[in-house]
Formats: sequence, C-alpha cells, structure tokens
Amino acid sequence: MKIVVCVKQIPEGNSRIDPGTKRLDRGGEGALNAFDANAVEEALRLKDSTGEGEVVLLSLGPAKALDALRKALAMGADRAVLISDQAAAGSDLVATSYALAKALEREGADVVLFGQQAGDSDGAVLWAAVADRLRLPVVSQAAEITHADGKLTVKRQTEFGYDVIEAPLPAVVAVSDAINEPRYPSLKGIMGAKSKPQETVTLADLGVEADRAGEQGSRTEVSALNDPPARGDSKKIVDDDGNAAQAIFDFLAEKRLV
Amino acid sequence: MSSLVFLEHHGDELLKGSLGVLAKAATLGDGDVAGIVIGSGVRALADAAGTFGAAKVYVADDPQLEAPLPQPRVDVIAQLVRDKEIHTVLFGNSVLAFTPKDLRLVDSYTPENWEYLNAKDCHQHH
Repeated sequence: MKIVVCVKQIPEGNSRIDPGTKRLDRGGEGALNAFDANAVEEALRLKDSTGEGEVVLLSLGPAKALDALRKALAMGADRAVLISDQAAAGSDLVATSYALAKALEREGADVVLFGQQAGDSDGAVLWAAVADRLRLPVVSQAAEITHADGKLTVKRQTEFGYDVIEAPLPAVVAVSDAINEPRYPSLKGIMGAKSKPQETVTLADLGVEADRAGEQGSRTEVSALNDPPARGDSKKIVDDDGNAAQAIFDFLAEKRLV
Repeated sequence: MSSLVFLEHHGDELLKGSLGVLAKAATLGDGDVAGIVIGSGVRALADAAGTFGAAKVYVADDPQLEAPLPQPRVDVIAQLVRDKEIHTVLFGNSVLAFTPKDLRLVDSYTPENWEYLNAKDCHQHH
C-alpha cells in the first residue's frame, strides 16, 4: 500500500502576520505542523499493519520546509517530495490544492492522509479540496482507521458521537488529533533521515500552469488586517483584602448571572 | 445578492450553530437569506428556521440523505446554487459542515465522488 501524507511546515512559536504582504511571516524557525505528525504516525501504523508498502511525505513550501519533512522522515517515512517554487508564494486553498493534486496524481497513492488542520492558520480545508480535485472519497476527523479487503473503514469523530464510514481505495482521510500519539524520532531515525530520498520539484515539473499558482491562481485575497476590538466591559478584582470572592459574587449578581 | 445557509440538524433539532449563522446573515441586510435543510424526515424542521430570519427554506428530504455524509449535501447545495443563482453559501462550524464548505471553495466542482462513500453504521453516543 502506498500512503502519501501531506504535511506542512509552520512557524515555530507564535505566528506573526507580515503587515506588508499580509502573509504569514515564515522568516523564523519552522516546525512540522503538530497535527500532521498524527497523520504521519497513522500512515506508519497502516504500513505496519499491512506488512508492506511505502509512506511518502508531500509538502508545498519554501526550500527550508525540508527541515520539517526530515522530522517526519526520522519518524519512519520512506521518502519526501517538496514542491518548492517562488511562483507558488501567496497560494490560497484553491491554488495549493491544485498543486498538491497534481503531485498526488503523479504519485498514484492508495491512501492520502492529512492532519486535521494547520497549526498556524487553523485552516481545516485543504484535504477536502484536494479530494475534490482528485475525485476521491474523503473522510474527515478520523479517530480510527482500519484497512481490509481493498477499503478503509474509518471511525469519524463528530459532535454527537462516532460515524463508521467505509470508503474504497484510493481515498483521502483527514485524521483527528485524538487518533494516536505520534512517536518521537529515535536517534537512529534522525541519523537515517538524512540519507532518505528527498526530492524537490517545481510547479513546471508537475505541469501546474502559471495562472493556477500563487496569487494569480488564488481566489481569495486578504484585504485588511486589524487588531481585535478592545474589551471595554471588563472589571479587574484584586484580592488585597480577602474579599475578592464576595466582590466576584456581587459583580455576577449585578449582571444577573447568579 | 442572495445567501443560502446550510441548516444542519441532529435528530429533530436544528443545530444552534447553524441557526446563529442564519440569524447573523439575516441581520446583514444584503439581499434575501434562505436556508436549506437536508436529510431524511426533515420537512418539519423548516418551520423552525423561519423564526430565525430565513425568508425561504429549501428542504431536501429523501431516505438516501439519511446518512450523515457530506458529499450528497454538496450535490444538493451545488444544484441549488446553480438553479437559484445564489451568490453566497454560509456554513456553521461542525465536522459535517467542514467538508461541504471546503468543496464549495474549489473551482472545478462536480459531484462525482459522493456515491463512493457508504455509511456503514452511525453510532450516536457520548
């Protein structure tokens, strides 16, 4: 079974938006999106359960995104493909999903896994868009995945319980962060990651047309950035005389909340 | 400009998140706001939507829509968008609504993939 895991490098620590470009500032240190680590872990488990196959990492980003891919390689993935092209800068969901779909067509995966969301922008949309482009069934919020008889059985976590959904292969699955506990890369894995195949491809290599990438290929535009409105209706209670509890109660009573 | 709000339900109740989106959309005053309820045996839910600001409620009521799968809902909404010239589709934040929301954003949508999914069993428990 060939499993492709789509992963993203995100800025480490607090994300910052560049007010000039209105894009995420990717100038600092980067890290593997933590939600994607769940997808990598699940891919490795699926591979182990079938006893054969390959786990391939796929990402779109600047050249330094390879650092994040190496962490996933150290976890146990077999090889990595990075789509890196200056023309892809500023790609929104529509443009990104197109480039990833083109790469996935080339790979011909049985299963495509995503994490449930991006840790920087909190976007949770890419997997469905990619599935739609590839015309593949998609299951989101997977809390359990089993493979048998050429199909996946997925336990989908919802607000009300669980749905059990079957999908034939190939399929796209976005895993919940509750599905597993990602393994820590071993020292041997970290050392071995450096020698695993790591391919960087351009948009042209994938046949992505110039007008379907970057800002030109995007359908959304950030028009403005603003700070959230100040919270005016707040009251700070300092317990300097031991009467804070009473003060809180009086405040709530005044608001008719108790 | 006309808007359509996906009114998700669970059992015999519309979800509060969906109704909140509907109420907000109705206050924007930017043309007609319609709601759509999709499922099996959901006709009665349309009445409730009217009290939250929907000028019109579309109902897709069919036993084939019983399973909580996104793709058939995308199919219904996409058809409605085409037929009624709806400019904006609004969704609440939920596991089910995530997928139709996402698929609406993609420019090359055709509803070819929904039939491949089969809800084997749906457990509702906490």
